[in-house]
Amino acid sequence: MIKKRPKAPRGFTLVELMITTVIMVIVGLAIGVVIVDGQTGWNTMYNRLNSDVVTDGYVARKKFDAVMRSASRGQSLVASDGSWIEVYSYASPSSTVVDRYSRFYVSDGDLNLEYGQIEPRSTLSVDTVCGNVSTCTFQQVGMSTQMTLTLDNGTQTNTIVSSAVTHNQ
Amino acid sequence: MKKLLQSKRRGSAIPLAVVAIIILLAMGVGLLSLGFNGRIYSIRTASDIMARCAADAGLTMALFEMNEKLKVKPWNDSTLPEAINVKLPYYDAVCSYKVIGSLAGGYTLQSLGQSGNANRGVSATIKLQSGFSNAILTKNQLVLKSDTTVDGYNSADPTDTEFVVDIGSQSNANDSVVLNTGSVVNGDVFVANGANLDDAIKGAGTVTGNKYTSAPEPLPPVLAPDDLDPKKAIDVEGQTITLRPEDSGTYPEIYLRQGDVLEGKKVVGTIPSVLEVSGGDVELYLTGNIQLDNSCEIIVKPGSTLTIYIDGNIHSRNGSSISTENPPEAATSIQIYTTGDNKQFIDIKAKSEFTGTIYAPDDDVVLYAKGNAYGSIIADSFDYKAGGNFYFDEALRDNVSVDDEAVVFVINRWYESAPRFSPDIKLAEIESMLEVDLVK
Repeated sequence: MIKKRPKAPRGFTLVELMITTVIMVIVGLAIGVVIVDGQTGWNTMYNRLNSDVVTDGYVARKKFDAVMRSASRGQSLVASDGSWIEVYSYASPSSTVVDRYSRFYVSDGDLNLEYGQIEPRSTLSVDTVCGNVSTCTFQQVGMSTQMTLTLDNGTQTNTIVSSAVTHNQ
Repeated sequence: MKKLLQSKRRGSAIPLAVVAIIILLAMGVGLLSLGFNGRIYSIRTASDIMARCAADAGLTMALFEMNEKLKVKPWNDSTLPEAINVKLPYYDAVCSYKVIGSLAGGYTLQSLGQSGNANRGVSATIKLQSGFSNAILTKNQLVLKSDTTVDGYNSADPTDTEFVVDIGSQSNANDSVVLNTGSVVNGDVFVANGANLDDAIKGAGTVTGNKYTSAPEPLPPVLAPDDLDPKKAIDVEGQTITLRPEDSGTYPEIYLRQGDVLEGKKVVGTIPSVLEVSGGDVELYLTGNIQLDNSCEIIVKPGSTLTIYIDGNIHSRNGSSISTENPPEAATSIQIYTTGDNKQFIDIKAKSEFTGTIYAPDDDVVLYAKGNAYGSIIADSFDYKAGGNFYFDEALRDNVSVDDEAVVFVINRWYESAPRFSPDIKLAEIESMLEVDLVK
């Protein structure tokens, strides 16, 4: 007289659910790791190309290059500790004598470029080339001038070494 | 299980997978884009730098060729250096250059460098630079004795009173320039780039101008003339001999000795030998030494000049003298060029004042004059022991000629054009770019 139990609708067993859950967690974690790694990689690459210390480094290199290449090879001054450099140049193509000076120096963590006339000596402008300067040294050999600049914004450090040859009389 | 698979209920696995794939794809594309842009930027920057270096190399090559032409006398500029698409060794760039202009109007060098799609142009005007652009210039040490003043004069323009005088060394070592107590330089003092000014310029002397570092300029070697007839050595005792322009030639040696003054057979004194130069320009090429015994003299008469090319040494003993008869005159009255392959030693003395130039960029020079010295000295090392002052003849620097010795073309003004990025620049375009001033 045993009543036949009504047939229950087919479901998942506990084991099936656990296995599925574990697989889903593993797959989810894997996807998460990949996504996080990708995001980190993207951020790293983006910072390497576009962070302030990198772009400031580009600007500093370009500025140093432009000033040095058009500077006079006949005269220059470098601090004994290499902390600043002063070079001389022509104000315009019509200038007959070297009549301008350009001085790179670091002040309060900024690399500055002071531009002025020689006779009488007066400052015409002071531009901030870049900030976050950790160290900056200049040295000269022959007609070559080299700047070693380290920028540090607290999270990233960028060291650039830029060399240029002075060409003008 | 079969029913489950046949179930038509919608699941969420496929949408989830699609979403994940889309996210991953987006991130992948972003990374690729970032990397690609970085790579493109890097290639463009590298190409620009390489093109610029190639342009600089082209300009250097053009300048070198101009200076090679300068070695051939007389100067001939009927053809000027020109080249198109010169492949630089071990370098993925080419350069093209051209020199335009004339001696009267000046020469302009144009150079174009190309690497990939990048083009860079530089141009420069050049000028002749005298071998004697400085009062005193050494490659190594320069020593001024105590109480010496360095100043200027202008033998070509006596009304000129504003002199631009400088002395210096192409060395950046410590003690490259020593200004002893009481010495005064009425002008600038320079040493080579890389020097510490306080260490490189030493002594208690005074500099009225500036002290600075400078890029060393080339000091070209002077070649001995090959068109002078060979002559016998001059070796005289107690005689006075005269050299005239027709006596110009190649001599193995000049030795001026003291002769004995005899009374009977007894020597009662000595008489020095004297070599006089008169009648015009005398040019001597010495393959050996010049030696002057005590009190012997080489005297250049007014209106004459003496040019000496020497492979050996010059020894001037006490009381001897190499000088002009009426100093000061134009410093070109006596010109001495060292032309030997080995290290030479030039020891010049003058009984009173010395006027002349010494060009010995690889050799040691000592000058001892009882009076002032006038002219210019270029040496490896120079020791000035004169009793008087040193005066630089500005005419040496200002009146430079293409046929002078030791002249060299140097860049006067230099310009750079903005970079251009264009693929496959045509030959005609290069030629047209080289024809015009790249700056304009």
